Amino acid sequence: MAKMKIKKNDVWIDMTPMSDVMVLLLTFFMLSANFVKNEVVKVITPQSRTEVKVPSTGTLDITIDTLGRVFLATDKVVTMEYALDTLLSKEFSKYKDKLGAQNKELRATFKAETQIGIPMEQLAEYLGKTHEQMTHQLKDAGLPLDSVVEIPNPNKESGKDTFSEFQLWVKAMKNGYKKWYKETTEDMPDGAEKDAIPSKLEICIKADQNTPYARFKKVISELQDINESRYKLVTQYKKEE
Amino acid sequence: MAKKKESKQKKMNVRVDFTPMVDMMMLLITFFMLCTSLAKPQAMHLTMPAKDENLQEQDKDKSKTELTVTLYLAPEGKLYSYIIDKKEKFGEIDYLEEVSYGKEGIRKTLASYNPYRSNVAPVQAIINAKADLDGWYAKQPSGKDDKTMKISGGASTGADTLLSVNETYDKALIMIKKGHVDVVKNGQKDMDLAKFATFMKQMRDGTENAEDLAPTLSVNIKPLDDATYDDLVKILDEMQICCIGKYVIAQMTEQDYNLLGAAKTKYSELQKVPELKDYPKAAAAE
Repeated sequence: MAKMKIKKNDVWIDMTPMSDVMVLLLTFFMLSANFVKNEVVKVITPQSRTEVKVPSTGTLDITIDTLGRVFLATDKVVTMEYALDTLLSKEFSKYKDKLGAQNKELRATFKAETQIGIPMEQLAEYLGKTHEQMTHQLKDAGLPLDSVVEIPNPNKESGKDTFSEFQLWVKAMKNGYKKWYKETTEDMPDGAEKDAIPSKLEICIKADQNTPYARFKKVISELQDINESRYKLVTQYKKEE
Repeated sequence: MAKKKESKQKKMNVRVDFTPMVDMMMLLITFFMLCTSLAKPQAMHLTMPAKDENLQEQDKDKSKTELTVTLYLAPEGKLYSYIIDKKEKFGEIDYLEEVSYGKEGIRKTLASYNPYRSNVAPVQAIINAKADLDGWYAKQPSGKDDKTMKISGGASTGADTLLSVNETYDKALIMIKKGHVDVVKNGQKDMDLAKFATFMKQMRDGTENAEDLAPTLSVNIKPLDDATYDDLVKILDEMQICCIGKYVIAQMTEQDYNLLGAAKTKYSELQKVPELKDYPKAAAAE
């Protein structure tokens, strides 16, 4: 009888320390990690010894892959929507029927997108596809850098301004963010909370380490044309040799 | 016997089985490990000059001096430096040299370049000054964002400025990069706050005396179209390590292509880059 009792006690393992450790680990991961964005086009950024971190919010990520295709991403979905609306109201008004706010399903799909890289011409068709098809198509797409959109400008000699779709998107995103910032901070009292929100969208360039310089140069030169001359280059930290 | 049984049951009740809890924790941890990343990417600041044709013409003339280094980033990880020790020698191909990336290559070349044969090479002097500044920074007590540093405004205005340690560090680094290497006490890992105040006032009023400034190097970075983005970042990183304040990413001009092309005979490695001769000259004028 006594023997039986001992055996029973042996089987029981005390899980309390184990669960203690687990809780600790979990807390550590929850506090120190940040979520990986589900990006379709991924790049391997080069290494540098800079010690400045990329801000976690208020950034406009411009991804340039090895073939020079350009994708835009931002952490604020609202900004993306505002940008789309701005573009539809002005430069791309001919797609308003297809992409306007009345197409609820398409807009919901658009909001779930993490990267923008489909030319406006194909956007409506693209958003109607299945998720797998979309991923497949986005990988081979990229925002057009050369496509010229003409906007009448009476102040200019030629009577028009010319922009690429990429430039228009960057401008629209910047304005969209500004609008969102104004709406959010309007009723906020001055203080640390308000200061924590960046007032401007910062351009972060995320290029693959094997991207030819010519491709990078092209993007930079398009950005310079719309008076954007400050960037952050996204890199991975490397220890001193 | 009956009594014993009762007490046994009580003991069992006290124990809570933690196994499901641990199971759940494991699941959560796995989820967090897979869906998050610990390493946050680093940001490297880059400011490009505004597009202005007139400005570039002016700069071109200024850049042809002994204090200017031109770096050509060629494809396949090749790097060429063009350093002339006298203004008049601009354009001579003998000064084109192949260097490697990294500590023993380009960093050494830049840090040891000494056109005036002074005791310490210009870049090395600035690197040393930054090391002293870092030493000073490490010695400061915590609370580096608090405005605790009192910077005297000088006899004329009298108003003192309050700065935090971090702000002082940033300002001092800008001064060092400009050539105010004596803002730190040489080799003592300490800062000269009186001089810091003077320089700050001078920089604000625009009354800097050019003779007080140590010579600083400026670097023209000229990547060829086939160079990779990685090469560019490596060089920009090197600019930060060497504390070079003045650098510009410039376009290849026809002169540059000619220079690289002419040196081809001398540097046989360059012949391995077949694209070089195919570079259209029109692209240079872009």
